[in-house]
Amino acid sequence: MPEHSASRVDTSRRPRLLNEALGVLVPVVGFSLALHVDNNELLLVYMMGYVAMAQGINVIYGFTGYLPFGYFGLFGAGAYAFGIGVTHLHWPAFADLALGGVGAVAIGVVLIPLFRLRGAYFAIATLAAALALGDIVANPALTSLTNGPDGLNLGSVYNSGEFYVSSVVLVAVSLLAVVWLRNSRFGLSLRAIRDDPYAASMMGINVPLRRAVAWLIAAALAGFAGALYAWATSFFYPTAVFDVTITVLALVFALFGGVGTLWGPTLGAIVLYSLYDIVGVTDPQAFQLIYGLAIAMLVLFAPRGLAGIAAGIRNLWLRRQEREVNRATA
Amino acid sequence: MLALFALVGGLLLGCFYALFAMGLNLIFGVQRIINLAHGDVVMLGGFLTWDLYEGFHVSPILSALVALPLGIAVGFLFHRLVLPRLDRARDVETMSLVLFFGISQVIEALGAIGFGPNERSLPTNAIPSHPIRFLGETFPAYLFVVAAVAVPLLALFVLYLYRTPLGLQTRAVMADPREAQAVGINTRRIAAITFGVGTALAAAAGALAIIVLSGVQPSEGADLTIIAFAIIVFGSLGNPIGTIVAGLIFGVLSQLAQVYLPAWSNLVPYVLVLGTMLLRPEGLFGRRTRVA
Amino acid sequence: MPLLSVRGLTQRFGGLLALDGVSFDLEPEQAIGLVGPNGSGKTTCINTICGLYRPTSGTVDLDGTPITGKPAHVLARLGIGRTFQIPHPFTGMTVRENLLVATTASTPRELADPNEVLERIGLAHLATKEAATLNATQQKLLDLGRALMLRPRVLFVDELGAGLAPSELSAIATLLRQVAADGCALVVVEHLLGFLEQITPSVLVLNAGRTIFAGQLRDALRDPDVERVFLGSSGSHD
Repeated sequence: MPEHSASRVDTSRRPRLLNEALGVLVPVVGFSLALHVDNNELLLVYMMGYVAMAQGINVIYGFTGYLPFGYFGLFGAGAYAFGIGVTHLHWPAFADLALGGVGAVAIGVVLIPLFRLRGAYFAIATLAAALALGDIVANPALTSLTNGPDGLNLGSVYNSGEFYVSSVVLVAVSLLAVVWLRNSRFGLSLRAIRDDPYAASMMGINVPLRRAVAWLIAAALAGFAGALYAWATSFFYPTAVFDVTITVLALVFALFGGVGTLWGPTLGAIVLYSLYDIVGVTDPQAFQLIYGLAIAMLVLFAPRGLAGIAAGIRNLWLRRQEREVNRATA
Repeated sequence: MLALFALVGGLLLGCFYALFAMGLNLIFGVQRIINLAHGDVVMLGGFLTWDLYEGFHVSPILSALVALPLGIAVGFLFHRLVLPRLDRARDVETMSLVLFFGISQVIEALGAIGFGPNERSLPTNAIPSHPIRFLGETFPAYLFVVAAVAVPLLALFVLYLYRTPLGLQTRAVMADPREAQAVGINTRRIAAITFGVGTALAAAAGALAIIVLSGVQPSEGADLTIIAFAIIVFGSLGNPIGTIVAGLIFGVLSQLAQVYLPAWSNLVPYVLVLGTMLLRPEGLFGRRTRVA
Repeated sequence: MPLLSVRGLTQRFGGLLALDGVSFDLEPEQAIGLVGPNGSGKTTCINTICGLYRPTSGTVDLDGTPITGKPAHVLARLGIGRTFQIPHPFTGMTVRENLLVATTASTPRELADPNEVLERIGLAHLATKEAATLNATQQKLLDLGRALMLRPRVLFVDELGAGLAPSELSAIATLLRQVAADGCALVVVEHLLGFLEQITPSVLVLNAGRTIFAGQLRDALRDPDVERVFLGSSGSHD
C-alpha cells in the first residue's frame, strides 16, 4: 500500500501563535476603544460579561465535556456576593469585585460532588442547584442578608470608568485562560480526560482534581461577570441574575462560534449579543423564540458552530488540493 | 390534625404528580432522552385549558381528555420530523438535552406571545369547589376532583402499558432496545408513538396543573420540568410504577413542607433531585439506569 | 517478597459473580499468561486490580503495601500499567500527543522518553498523524506505548494479539519480551496460546472467576481440569 502523503499536516507553530495572539489582543483592544464608537456603556459591559461567560462555557464544556445548565447560578452568586460586600461590609468596589469571584468559586466548590454524575444528569443537577440558589437568595426569610425578593440597590459604588476597565480586564483574563488551556500540558490532560477519563487516570492524571480546577476557572469567570453586572446595573432583582436565559445566551454564543476554539465564543458573543440588543430588548418574547430556534438549529445542523463550518470548508478545500496532487503525481 | 391533612392531601396531590411526571419517565424509558421541554408542554396544556374555558366554558376535566389525542398527534409528528437528525451529533446525550432546552425556550416564547406573559388562572367555580369533610378534616374539593381525573388516566395508561400489544412492545424497547429490534419490533415507530403518549400525558396533566398550581405562566416551564425530573429520578428512571410511588411520596412531602416549613417549601423538588442523584442515584427501586 | 500479591480477589456485579477468590503472586520481572474461556473473568481481573472497579472483597499488595481499591491514577503513579482489550486512543490528538499526555501528570515516576517509545512501538513515522486515523494494529501499538510512558513495574496486557496477522504477532511478542527484559513484570491475558508461548511459559488458568491451574503452559494443556474447561470433556483428544 503506497504511503499516504500526510493529509493532516502538523500545522507549524507560527501561524497558530499569531492566531492566538490576535485572538486575545483584538477583542481587548477593540473593547478598550469601543466607547469612542458607541457610547452605550452598559451594553458594552454586558457584552463583555457574555464574552467572558461564553469562554467560561468553552472552558468547562469544550475542555471537560460537562455542560452546566446551572451556569447562571454562578453569575447570580457573583452578583450577590458583590452586593453583600457593598451593602453589609461596605468594602470599596474592587474588594467587592474580588468577593464576587470568591463567592462564585465557593458555590462552585459546593457543586463539585455533582461531577460524579454523567453528562446529561450533571447538566440538570446544576440547573436544579442554580434554581434552588435563586430561591434561597430571594427567600423573604433571608431579607436581612440579601434583601429577599426586593432586590439590591448598589448605586453607592457606581463608577463607570472603573467597572468598564474591569470588564475589559475580565475579557482579557478569560481569553488568556483559554489560550493557556489550549497550549499547556494541563489543557492537554483535560482533553484526554474529556475523551476517556479512565485511560487518562491510568496515565497518572488525577481526573477529579483537574476537572475541578477547570470548573472553578469557569465559575470564577461567571462570578466576575455577575459582579460586574451588579456594579454596572446598580439595581436588580434576584430574578434578573438567577435567570436561566443567562446560561442560554452564554451557551448559544459558545456553540454558535464553536466550542473548543479561541475565536468562536468571542465572535459568537459579540455578533449575537449585538443582535439581541437590537431585537430582544424591544421584544423579549420574539428574541426568546429566535434563540430557542437558533439552539435547535445549531444542534441539528451545525453542532460545531461557525468554527465547525469553517473547518468543514477548510477540509473540503484541503481534500480537493490532495486530490489534485494525487492526480498530478499518479 | 395538621399531619393528617398533609398526608391525605398529599396523597391526593400525589396522584396528580404521578400523572404529571409519567410522560417524562416514559420518554426517558424508551429513548434515554430527557425531555427538558416537558414542563412547557404541561404549561401549554394549562393555557389551552384556560382558553377552552374562557372561550367555550369547557370544563378542565373535559380538556384533560381532549388533550390526550391532541398530545399524541403533536408528539408523534414532532418526533418523526425532528429526532432523526439528532443521531448525527457528536455528543448525543448532551446535545439532545440542549436541543430540548432550545425547544422549551421556543414553546415558552410561543406561549408568551400567544397567551401573554402573565399568569392565567381559572375562576373558582370552574370545577366543584365546596369543601369536603373526610376523616375529620376539611379538604378543598379540588384535591379530590384532580385525583378523580388523574387516577383513571393513570389507570388507563398502566392498562395500555401492561395489557396491550403496543404496550408490550414499548416495555420491550424500554428493557433492551437492541433485543427488541432483533425480535422484529420497529423501535423507531415505538419511539415516536411513545413520544406522542408522553406528550399527551403531559398535556393532560397541564389541564389539571392550572387547578393545582392555581394558575400557569409561560416562564414556569423549567421549574415544572425540574419537579417532574425529581420525581422520576427518585422513583428510578424508566420505572413506571416507581414514578407513581414517587409521585405520591412527593405529594405528601410537599404538603408536609407547606404545613411545617412554608417559607422553604419550594425547595422540596431541588432537595429531592439533588439528594437522590448524590446519595442513591439508582432511585427507590434501584433499576439499571443510574445517573452516576 | 513478590512484587504483586493478589489474595481472594472477589468481584460481584449485582447477581453476577465475576471473580471468585482469585489469588496469585507475581515476582519482579516475572511474566505470566492469564488464560481462560470467554467470561472467565480475565478482563474483570485486570479492571479490578487496575482501579476501574473496587473489589467486593480480597486484597492486592504491591511490594508488600496494600493498594486494594485505590484510585486509578494512584495505581498508575505507583507503577501499574495496562492496555485495553479494545484500544481507544485519545481522539483529537496526534500520536505523539497521546504519549505526551503522560507528561502532564505530576508523578514521582521517571517517565520514558516519548521519542524512544515511538521507536520501540514502531510508530515514529506516524508521530504527527491524528491518532483516530490509525488502523487497528497501530492503535493497539499506541495503546501499549501509552502504558509504557510511565515505565510500569507491572504491565497488564489485555488480548493484544486479537486480530493480528502472524507476522505482526511475532513482532509484538518480541516487543513484550523486551519490555519484560527491561524489568517490567507482565500479566498477559490471551486467547492465542501460540502467541503467549512466545512471551512466557508460565500461565494462570481461570474459569468462572476461579483459578483452576497455575504453572507451565505445556503442563496446563495436559491438565484434566483445563481440558474439561477448554475442550468440553476430559481424556478425549480429537
